[in-house]
Amino acid sequence: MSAQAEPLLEVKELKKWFPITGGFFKRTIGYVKAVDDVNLVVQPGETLGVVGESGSGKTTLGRTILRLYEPTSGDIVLHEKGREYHVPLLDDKEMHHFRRNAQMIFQDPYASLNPRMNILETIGEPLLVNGVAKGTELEERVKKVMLQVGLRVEHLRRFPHSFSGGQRQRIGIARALVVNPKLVVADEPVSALDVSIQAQILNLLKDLQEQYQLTYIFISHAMGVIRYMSDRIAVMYAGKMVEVGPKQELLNKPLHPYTEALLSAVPKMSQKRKRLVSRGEVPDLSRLPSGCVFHPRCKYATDICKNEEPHLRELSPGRTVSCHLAEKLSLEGI
Amino acid sequence: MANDNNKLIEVRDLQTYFYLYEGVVRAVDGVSYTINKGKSLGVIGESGCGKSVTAQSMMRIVPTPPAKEVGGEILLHLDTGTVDVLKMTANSPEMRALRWKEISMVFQEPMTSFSPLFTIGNQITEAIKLHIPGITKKEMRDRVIELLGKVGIPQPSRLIDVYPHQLSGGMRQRAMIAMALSCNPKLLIADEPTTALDVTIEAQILELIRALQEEFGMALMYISHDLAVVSEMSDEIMIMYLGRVMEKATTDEVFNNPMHPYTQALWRSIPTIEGDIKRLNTISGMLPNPYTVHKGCPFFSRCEQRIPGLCDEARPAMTEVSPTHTVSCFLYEKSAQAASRAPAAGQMAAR
Repeated sequence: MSAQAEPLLEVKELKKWFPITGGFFKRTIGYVKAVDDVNLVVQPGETLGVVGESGSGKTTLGRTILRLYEPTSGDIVLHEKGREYHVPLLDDKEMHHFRRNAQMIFQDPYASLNPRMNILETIGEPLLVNGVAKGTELEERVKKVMLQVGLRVEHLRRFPHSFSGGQRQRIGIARALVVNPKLVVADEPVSALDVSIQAQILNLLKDLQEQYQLTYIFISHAMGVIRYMSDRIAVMYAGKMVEVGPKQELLNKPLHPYTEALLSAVPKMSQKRKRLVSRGEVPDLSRLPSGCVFHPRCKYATDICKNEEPHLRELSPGRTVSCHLAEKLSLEGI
Repeated sequence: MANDNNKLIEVRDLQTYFYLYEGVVRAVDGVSYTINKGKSLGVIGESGCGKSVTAQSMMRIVPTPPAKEVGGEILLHLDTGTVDVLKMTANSPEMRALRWKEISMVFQEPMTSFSPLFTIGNQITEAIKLHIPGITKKEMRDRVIELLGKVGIPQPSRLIDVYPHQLSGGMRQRAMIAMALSCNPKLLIADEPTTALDVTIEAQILELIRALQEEFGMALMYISHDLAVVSEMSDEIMIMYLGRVMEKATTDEVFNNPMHPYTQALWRSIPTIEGDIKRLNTISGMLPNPYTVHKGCPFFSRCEQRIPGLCDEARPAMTEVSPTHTVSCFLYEKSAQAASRAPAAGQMAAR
């Protein structure tokens, strides 16, 4: 494989099942299949947008990739300088190295900051625990990253309660970037913010990406935000990856009926139009339907969809889909 | 006052203030609008702009204290005559007779707006029992089952007896809508009814509200921070910022020809799923401290087209730029008028 084509991250048949316990001995009586058989490749410098409704497993996927949850099975491979790190197998010391390369921005800027730690301690924490810097060097690096994300250095010793939602999210971004990571998983970083603040944060993330050649896995339920941020889009439904493709192609001509339904459901400003309302609700992840997980809500479903589970397959270069009928359907995009 | 037959509710110069320890928050500060029978008005604004408090004032359910409706009038035109909702006592029998019967409301949180201790059917029945005297238990139950069926709840005769926690968010919001419609109200206020729901479920609920609005001939006031949702639901749109109306026009005009600098900036800051992808425009700065009293336009500190000496000194009036489009901004007031309102700033305004 040539050096240029080497991906930054590969996710192979990743599963994260949460056990459901019950009975007298708290035996496992079933599983919530939050992430089930997900395959992904992330190229250096790109933004992969992961979109899906609540309960589709997108947050679990992001957290499992960073091993904030132990994966049930499957592999996550980080390529760095010709070396391969198999994330699920790393020991504590190697995990520190991994954490310097992969960081996370969390959704809720109110819950993800410790109210008893001031900004210096909050942003400096990753440097300290991963053994990157301490003392004056740590303070200098914190100040530098604060300026980069648009925070004022005078606020170094303030506590989170004195900041607004947008500023708190900047603190969260600074905390992720202070170790100079290559990969950043951003889990709904703007969904708790007002529109005018949301635009500031999205632009900041784009600028930082350009400046530091960051790779983003950008998780969101908002299609407009995903479209603005991503190079490629991955659509999740009920713990499964249903479609992955380059942004514009996926939006213009979706290959999976769920993508079509999702795009149609998004309210649009231009005109009132008929929409394709999909029946029913997202299934219970502990009692998934047989065959294709989307078939009870799919208007194109046939017998094969009820009985056989589709797998992700490449339909054309760069475009993968998990649908039995993908070749036959001609679906409507935006 | 001549009662225009089409008008259902007229809100004039409504002011609702919160008296807090730290100071007075002018949550709604001189808001006026009219909703015609069977029409829909969309209200857009960021958090803290007073859109929910406006709606709560119409229902007289703002928490008092600390909040109080300190001024204005809310005229409700009924077949039996016109009443001023603001003149009534919030918990008086007259006000109770209006709530749910004439004006009803769907709230944002489908999780918390039902009592967990009573069944869905029990709670919807309560509203009917209050407003339709002499109805028998059997009739009431049939009516609730019919309503639940109408809002798309499967097996209504079974689900009438379940508790709210047994329903999903989407189903609970449907039940909430059934409750709001139980007494055939003339006006339905929907305060962010889909914010807590997923997009595919949101689409179902929006379709449902629109179909029911047509069927029942209700007027609708639809409140949301999501511009695209509001545009789908409304004939007219009102944009609020810090307790004031910035712009009000038909949906087409607001989207195709936004005039207020705040509206224009807001439009450019939203990532959409259509059109070209341009770099998002940001509105500089943050919302001002809510305790601040603004002598002039509240958007002054963040506005790109501000006129120092004018905009921060005097309040812009609602200027009519076309019969269906009003803007509260000095850029559209006649310069002569503007000069007379703030004479000291005359030269600067004429730049």
